[in-house]
Amino acid sequence: MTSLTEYPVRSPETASRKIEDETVIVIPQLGLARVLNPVGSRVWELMDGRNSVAKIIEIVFSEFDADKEAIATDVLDFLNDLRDKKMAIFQNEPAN
Amino acid sequence: MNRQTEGSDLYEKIVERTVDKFIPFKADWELTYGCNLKCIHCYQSGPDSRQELSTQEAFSCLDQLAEMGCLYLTLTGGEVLTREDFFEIAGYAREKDFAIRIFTNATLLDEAGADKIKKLNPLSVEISLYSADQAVHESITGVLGSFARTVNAFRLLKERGVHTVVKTTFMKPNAGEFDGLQKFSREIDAPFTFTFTVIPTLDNSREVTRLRIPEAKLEEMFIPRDWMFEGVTEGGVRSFEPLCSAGFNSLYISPYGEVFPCVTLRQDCGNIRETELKDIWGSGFFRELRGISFKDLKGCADCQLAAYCDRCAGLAWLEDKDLYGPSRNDCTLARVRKMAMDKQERSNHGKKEEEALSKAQDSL
Repeated sequence: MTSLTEYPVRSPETASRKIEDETVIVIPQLGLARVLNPVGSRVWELMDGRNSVAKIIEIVFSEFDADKEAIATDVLDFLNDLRDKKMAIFQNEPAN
Repeated sequence: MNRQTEGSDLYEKIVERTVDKFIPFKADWELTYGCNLKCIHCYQSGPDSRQELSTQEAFSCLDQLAEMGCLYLTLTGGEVLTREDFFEIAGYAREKDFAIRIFTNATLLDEAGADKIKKLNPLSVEISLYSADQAVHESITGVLGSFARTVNAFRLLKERGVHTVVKTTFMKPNAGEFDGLQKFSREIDAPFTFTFTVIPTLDNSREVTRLRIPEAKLEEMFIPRDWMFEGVTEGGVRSFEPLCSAGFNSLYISPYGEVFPCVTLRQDCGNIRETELKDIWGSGFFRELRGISFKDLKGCADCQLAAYCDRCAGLAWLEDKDLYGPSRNDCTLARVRKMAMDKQERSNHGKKEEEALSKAQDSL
């Protein structure tokens, strides 16, 4: 379960590219491709190890027109999914 | 292209968007013309006096491709492993978030090299193997010992969980090797991909095309196979536009930095040493290519074999220097595919009639 104080990082095992406002993520090992919508794309972009989950929610809320609680739920669900699929690494400290 | 896609509709839509908006989503890059084998059908004539792109130039190329939206990158040669900086370039490509595919003969791969490839986490390593029989394979590669080294490389990569693909070109010397190669690929649990197309060489010689399998033999090879249906489209050679992805969402780069729409369509479009890639991508020939539609093709639009054809514009260009004409190679394949399918249909029809007759007799 993802915590607000963790710092998510995109897994180096993945490949990805932003195409306009969406992002295609590929997990080469599984030959799996996944498309992220604009919100997911922005979260993916912010997963550089310097932003905590709380900070990511804050930034996404400031950029997208939606209820904060709904955004928090969506972001946490999304991050949990990425964690399950080993597409993200979660650290307790921010990256340098 | 992918083994699995989550939300495949979304994925298809994004691929369509890259075509509609001319985003170079896929790039194939010949990193070098250097090679340690002497394959009899090779379309390249080896390195010339020009300098291949340096490591730094390669990095700059990758930066530009990433910036333009390229995700899928195929690193090919020549033989990529003859480049001393191959792992440096491939590693940088992964840092830049490309999904990479490596085409190689793998004969230069050892334990340490296999470890490095594993670290790159490629989508696939596609290895050329022309036969499961050493003598046949080496009669094509021209190098004794190449068979054992290639087969060993499959083992090294499989042990490390790297996704490998068995890849071959069928031509006269290995026309009888289908079953052996299929068995080999099943044993090592690797997909098996193949082509029947021997490409004319880049020096405009058609000499190598004499290696193409004659039509009668091709028909024999096609008949018992499920894949004979591949490439068959309803409504013509291409019932959709564009005619192919080259120049729409894919491009090709030579070891000298020349940019082409694809491996066969080597119309000079510009060089990344002189011009930014995005400017080449928006330039003359790419624009011409994007304007060609099915109805513009001479002899294809009303061809009876169109539904069985997988015409390649690049081959048409290489064979007859006519971008709008048919490709003789693809005409042959379409003819063979149609004959094979007709025969199969007649045979299925015959079997059904026999079954019906047998049932009728039983009920009497």
